[in-house]
Amino acid sequence: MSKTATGILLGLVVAVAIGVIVVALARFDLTGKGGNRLSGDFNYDQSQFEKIDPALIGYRPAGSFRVELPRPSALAVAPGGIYVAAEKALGVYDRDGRLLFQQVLSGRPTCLTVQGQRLYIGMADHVEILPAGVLNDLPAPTAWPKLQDNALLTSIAADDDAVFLADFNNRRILRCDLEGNVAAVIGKRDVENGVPGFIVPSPYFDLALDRTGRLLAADTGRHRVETYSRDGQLVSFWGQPGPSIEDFLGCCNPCHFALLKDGRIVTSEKGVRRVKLYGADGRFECVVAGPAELAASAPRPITEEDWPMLAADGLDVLVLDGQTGTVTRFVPKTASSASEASKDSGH
Amino acid sequence: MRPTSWLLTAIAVATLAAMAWGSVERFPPPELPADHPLPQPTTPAPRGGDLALLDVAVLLATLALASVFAVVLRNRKLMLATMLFSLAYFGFYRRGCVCPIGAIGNVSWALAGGYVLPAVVLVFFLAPLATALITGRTFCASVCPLGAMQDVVALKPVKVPFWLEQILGLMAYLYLALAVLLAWTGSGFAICQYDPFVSFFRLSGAWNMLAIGVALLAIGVFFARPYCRLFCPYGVLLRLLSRVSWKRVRITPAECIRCRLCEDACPYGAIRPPTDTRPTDRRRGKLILACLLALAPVLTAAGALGARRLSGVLWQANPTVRLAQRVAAERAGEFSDTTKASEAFYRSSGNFEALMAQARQKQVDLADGATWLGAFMGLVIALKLIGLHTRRRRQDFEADPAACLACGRCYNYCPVHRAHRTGDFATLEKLKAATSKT
Amino acid sequence: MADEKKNTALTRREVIQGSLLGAGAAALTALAARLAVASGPKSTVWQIDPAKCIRCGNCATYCVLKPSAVKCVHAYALCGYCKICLGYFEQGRGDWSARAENQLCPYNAIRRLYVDEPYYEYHIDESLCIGCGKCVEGCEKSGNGSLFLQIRHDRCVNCNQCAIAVACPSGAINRVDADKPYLLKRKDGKP
Repeated sequence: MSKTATGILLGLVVAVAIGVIVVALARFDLTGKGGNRLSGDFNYDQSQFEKIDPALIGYRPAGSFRVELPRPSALAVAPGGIYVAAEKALGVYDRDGRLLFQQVLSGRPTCLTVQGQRLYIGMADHVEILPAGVLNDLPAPTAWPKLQDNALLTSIAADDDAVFLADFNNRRILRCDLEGNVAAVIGKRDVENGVPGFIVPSPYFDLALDRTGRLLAADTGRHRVETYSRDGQLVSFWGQPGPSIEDFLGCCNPCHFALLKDGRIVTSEKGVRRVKLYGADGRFECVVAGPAELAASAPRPITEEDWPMLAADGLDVLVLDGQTGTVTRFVPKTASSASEASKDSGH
Repeated sequence: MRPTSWLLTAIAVATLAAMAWGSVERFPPPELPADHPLPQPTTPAPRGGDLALLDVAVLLATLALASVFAVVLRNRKLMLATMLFSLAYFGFYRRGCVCPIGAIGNVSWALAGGYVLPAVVLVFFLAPLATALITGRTFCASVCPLGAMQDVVALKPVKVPFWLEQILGLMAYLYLALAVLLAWTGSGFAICQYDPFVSFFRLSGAWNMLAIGVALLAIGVFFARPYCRLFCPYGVLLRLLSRVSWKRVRITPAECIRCRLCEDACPYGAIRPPTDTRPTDRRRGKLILACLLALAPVLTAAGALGARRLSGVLWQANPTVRLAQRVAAERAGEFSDTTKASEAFYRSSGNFEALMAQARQKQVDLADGATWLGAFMGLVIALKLIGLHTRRRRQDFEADPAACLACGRCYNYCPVHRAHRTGDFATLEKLKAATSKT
Repeated sequence: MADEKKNTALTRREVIQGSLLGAGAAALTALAARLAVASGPKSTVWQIDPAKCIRCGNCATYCVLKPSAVKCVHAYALCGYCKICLGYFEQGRGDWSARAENQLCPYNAIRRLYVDEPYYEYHIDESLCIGCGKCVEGCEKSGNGSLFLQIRHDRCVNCNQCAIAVACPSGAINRVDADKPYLLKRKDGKP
């Protein structure tokens, strides 16, 4: 090869190589700016469930307030006010969010209910009782003995005769008398005697008592709300998993539910955050709030741990967002509702 | 163990067990059949610690062998064999990771208090430097897998003007300074991120790095070892130390006969011919030197100030600053959407004020670092100029101690070396007679 | 005369050379001592902190290895053993039979094992998993979060600078002690 030919070749190679280096450096994405560059198949997308037809939404938000409590964990409504339990604290608020009184607690309650003059507080493995509706000089709570078998209470309901406790860790419901003695175990898996048992994959296991005193429980793994007689016989159930709006999404839902005063059932779901209303017979009625409406009360993305907690106030639905400590009141869109009138008078 | 310590241990174990028992299980498994055991996730172990010791042993052995082969035995073939072995071991077997060049990042970060420097990395960083003090850059010739990659393609090296290589070679100093600065501020290990040959060793990687590697190898056919000579940040340190090394590669084992046979032997342009013996204008030379010496602080200061002004460019290299700027812009309403990073920040319910404070600290660190970097570059340029002016006087053909990669290619070009090997001194005498006549 | 001059020049040069060598050795020793203070015997490896991971999918494509050294790992102890697993099923289809098209994973890398009505056990086939985190996101969003991403050290080459760590938007990938190379999810919900 002649010297000029080598020179030309050298120049060419070096020029091309430098060009390649410049282009490669310029198009280098080290910091993840370009995203994962995977096809859509590899991205988890549930936006189809997050968009909800506005015609299906039968409620509208009517004000919200923030509770200044650490890690809110339970919500209950009683004539005396709105009870919010949190880390070692209990706050009671009026419907406009004014703090009525605050009480120091021994731990972080996992559930809460008010029955008559009693405030039942579920503390993971035992129940504590405070007098409800007293504004100052609260006595030390009466504590029931610790439950056996590493119990984890996730829900509590009471009437004049009994207290029902949902024990997530043992997938069972305990019926106690008013002194805290366990009277019956409901729904515990017993294949030999034909009790299939609750399937509760994650620690959301809600229950409630309806107007007739029957027990409603969320069998979340089956995506059902089940009705039991007080002695534990399965009476009926409704609900199924599926992608349509009347079904329950996710692996275990509904995570919370509450009964309106007319017996209808309002549910909240984890996964896709939404709150829906069902008739007492389980027929889907409307959406109370979808992800967009719930996000409005908690503007920044939330962690997946605290899903909307519910309580019914007459025909209104109260939603507590555990992440921001926001309580939002949703009222029916129909003007005929009683709560609508009371809300107007409030302003 | 004494009985009391047994007792104490037993109590401790019992307490721990009781604590574990008492803690709330957030997710108790469902009631599976008793004959169905709960599987445990597998955890394949990383490469073991004793294998890291093997790496250290291989490094020290190859360094020692390379030095002996280069300086004592003066045997190019053995050096070549060492190089190929190192390429196979540190390159293709260890896939380019644990290497002294990248260790610059670890060392800088550890010095800044970022983390505890693993002892293995410490040895990898120091051993070639210590070797350079004793026998010069034998690491470059026979141990470094990056060098070996380029060495095998250096087929048609051309001579590059001395001044041009000196100017282009400044890139290595800049690269070193940047790499130290970025590692120091916890912004990442730039040397490893931009390692051009690591994709070859792993036989996979981003196309960009592969393309850069191929391009460098293509250049390397004509301009031997472009990475080593123009970019290698570790080379900067080795250059400095091998300048003062105790022993080093000398072209000739005895007296140079100035036969000029070795003149074109070095593919890296490291052989310096004897200097002009004609008398120079000493007055003029001293004047220029004085000017250059006066220029040094000026260049240093200018570099420091200039780099400080430009330090904003570096902010983007730091993830904390990037995130803070993005979140601040989102809060100011400059974007309607969020990025994955800002979303992750909101989800972690991160404290905006704390993030901004952290970012501001990083910006200050980067600006201060850039000032040092600028000063360093100014000083390097000044020293280069002084070095170019005050060229050492040479009577023989010599290998430039800084530029010489200790590959030993020049040995076989040297008739003195050949004579010493073969014992055929008659030919050498004839050649001596011929050269002294011209 | 000429020879003598040469000799003295050499000697002077040698003296300078020697003192420079001494200075270099001293400097290097000082650096070594300073570094020895900042160093320790333990090595580090890269690992994902599941508490920080946001399942962005960058692990699948920014790793220097193809497929990535990041794989989905299953903390069986956290799993609900659900029949309708949202890390396994594409829930939009509303069809809960284990046909390939109903599965969430594009590579069908999750194996489903019947245990006992109505419980199923899920296993990751690591030879198929690319670490995209789609199932992890499904499990995290809808389930118990028993699926999570980890750097598998039988594959990881332990780059000095992990490319995924640089591209990780939530800073979830960091160096951990090589003696404890995994950050597994624990039963009490903490990583």
